[in-house]
Amino acid sequence: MQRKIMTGYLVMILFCAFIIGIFSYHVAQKHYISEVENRLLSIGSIIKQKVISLEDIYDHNNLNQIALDYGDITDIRITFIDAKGNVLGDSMADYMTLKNHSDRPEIIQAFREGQGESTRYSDSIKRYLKYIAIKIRHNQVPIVVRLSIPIDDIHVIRNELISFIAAGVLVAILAAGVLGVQFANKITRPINQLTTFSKDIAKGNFKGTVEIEANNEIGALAQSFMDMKTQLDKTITELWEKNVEMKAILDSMIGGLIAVDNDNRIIRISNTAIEMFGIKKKKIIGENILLVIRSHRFNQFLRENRDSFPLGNQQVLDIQYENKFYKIYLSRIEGKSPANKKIGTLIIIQDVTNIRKLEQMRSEFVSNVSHELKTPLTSIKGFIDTLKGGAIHDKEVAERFLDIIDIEAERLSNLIGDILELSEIETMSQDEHMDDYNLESIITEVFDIIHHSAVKKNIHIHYEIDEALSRVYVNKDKLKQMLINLIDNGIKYNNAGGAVKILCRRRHDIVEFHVRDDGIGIAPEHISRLFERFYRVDKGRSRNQGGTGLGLSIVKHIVNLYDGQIQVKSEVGKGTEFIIRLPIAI
Amino acid sequence: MSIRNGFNASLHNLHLDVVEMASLVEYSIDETILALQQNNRALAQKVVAEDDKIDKMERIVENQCIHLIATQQPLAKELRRLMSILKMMTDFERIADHAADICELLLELTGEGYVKPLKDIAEMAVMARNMVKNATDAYINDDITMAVQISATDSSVDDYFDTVVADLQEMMRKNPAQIKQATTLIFIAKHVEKIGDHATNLGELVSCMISGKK
Repeated sequence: MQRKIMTGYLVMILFCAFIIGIFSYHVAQKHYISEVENRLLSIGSIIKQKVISLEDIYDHNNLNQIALDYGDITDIRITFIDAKGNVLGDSMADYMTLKNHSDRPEIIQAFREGQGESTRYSDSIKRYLKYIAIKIRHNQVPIVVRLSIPIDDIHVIRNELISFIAAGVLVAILAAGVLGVQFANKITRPINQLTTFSKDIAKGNFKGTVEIEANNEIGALAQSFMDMKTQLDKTITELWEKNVEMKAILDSMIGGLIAVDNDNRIIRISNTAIEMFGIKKKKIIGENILLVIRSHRFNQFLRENRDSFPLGNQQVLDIQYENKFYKIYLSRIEGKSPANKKIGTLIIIQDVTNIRKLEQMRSEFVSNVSHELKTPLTSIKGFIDTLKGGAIHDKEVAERFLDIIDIEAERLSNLIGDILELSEIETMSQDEHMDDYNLESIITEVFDIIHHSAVKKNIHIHYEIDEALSRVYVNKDKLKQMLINLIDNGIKYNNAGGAVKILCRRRHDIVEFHVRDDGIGIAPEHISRLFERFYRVDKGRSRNQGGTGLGLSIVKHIVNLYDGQIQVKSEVGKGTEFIIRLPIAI
Repeated sequence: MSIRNGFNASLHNLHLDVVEMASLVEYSIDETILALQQNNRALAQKVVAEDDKIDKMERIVENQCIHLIATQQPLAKELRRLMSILKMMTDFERIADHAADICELLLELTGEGYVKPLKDIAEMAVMARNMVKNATDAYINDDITMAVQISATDSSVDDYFDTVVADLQEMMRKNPAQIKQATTLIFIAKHVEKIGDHATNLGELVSCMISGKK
């Protein structure tokens, strides 16, 4: 812009200088030539008077003398010629040797009109000459005096003139250049300022201002730029706030949300969705969803339902992503304009891992219960069949079989008892049969019950109770059940000659029970599932010991009933310690 | 300019198709692992049947590559990319073939039940699957560090393979009745190991595609 202005400006100046130079040159030349003519004419008239005053013009020496005299003074060549063209005198050459001059145009013109003029190249002196001829009538005899002067001075003058004009043009260009730069700057500076300003706005920087105090079009432009900025700033801030609000709402959704356009490029994605799919990519918005979530079934589902799914209808898909189970809902995003009905797809992801786990646990429970109930029943039925088939008559065999049937029936009854117990505790939200008891007497009762099996396996059991701990507010049966289950486990999964130790400690109103054995221990991978119903670390061993697989499950539910905590520490081969904290101390 | 824009759009579509192919292959491996773990006959049959789909996808992507090379005369980076994709397709297709082969072997086994739980082979397969997944991730994100790291995992897959083979040989020595199942399992392990090798190839191709260095 600035350069364009400058070039245009310079071209204009050069053009003007050129025109002015040519004009002034012509004027000067014209002026000079007319000056020379006038001089020649005035000298001619003086000579004319002189010649008229002569007595005899045919005395050639007279005219020659006049020519020589005046020529000497004026530096002009003066020649006298008669009507026949003979030279009568000359100031520079010997007139006798000069040729006839009758064919010279200025002479012819002078004899005809009284005065003649011509500019010619003279062969004799090799210069351009200006000739002026004047007719003189002397006693009716016409002669002509011709004056001539070399005009190559005019070339010298022209060169001088040109160099003057050139110098003038140069000075003019310099001055004009300086002025031009300033002029161009004056126009371009505010435009540049506006450009920087609008670039800042484009970058999102609304802080800058533009300071142009001009009362012209540019000033108005700057003002409207400022107005535009203020308006934009306001609108963008509003939009931004709305966006933040929207994002906050979406991010607080429990399910994940992704919106994609018709080309499956992500328009919006909530943080939950990013976490659910473990997306590490930084640039997500605008990226094709295939590049972000690489699950074949998910993408196939998206593709299949791209245009097909009916209005207002949701499509659902269950997928497994890594170790999680997700339910995916698709619904179309409708555009406002009728021409552009579907502008994208909304994907809502629901994490159903826990529901799936629960479902799995329930079905496992049902199959476990049936299995556990069926095993003793099968064996009872089997033995009864054998007895019916004749074994009943062999008294010894029959008694052994009946013993087994008794044991199995006992186990069945235990199992059903445990299941009932469990369901009772599970449905109970608060224990109603709470009372004041002495903790030590409860533990003594537990020891009485457990004593038999401990002796049988040669396990030493003993307890310690904090002195500060005497009375507890509790449902006695539940607490007893809990301790029996724990100690019974300690005995069952112990080596012969081992020990089980019960410690009761008081922490404010919390009673801490430690049930520690030095038995076989539990491997770490089993600990998290230990309290699941029917979960057995070693199936064969547990069943041989007469376990129902529900003992620890019941313990956990009792602990939960009193808002307590349970903790397991175990090391394979060294033993297990259960720590239970119940807020029951008085 | 418009021609170049068209070219870029085709390149992007090709990129999406490559990822599509990769996700198909990954899905196929996932299903294979599940079939292995659950000894699931139906799933194994499904994987074998879906191998055709992958072969078809391979042809589509390859044709796209050849078409682009022939009509657009890509230079330097683009050409390198297209050539790498062509080679990657072969590896992807081979991986899917191995998955299908594993499932075919599994079909011979099903009904018998495993003589011992398939712990090591399944873990090895998960490792190989992750290698394929990482290679695809590296391809998508142009992540050269990730691409280079893949070959390091391959040696642990190979180690796993050696352990599995040693275990199975031991089993055969102890119980000649299990020779049939053990040999089939060795074949399965070999296929898993080959998947790891192809994933290593993929990683190398991706790093070559990004950096231009072999």
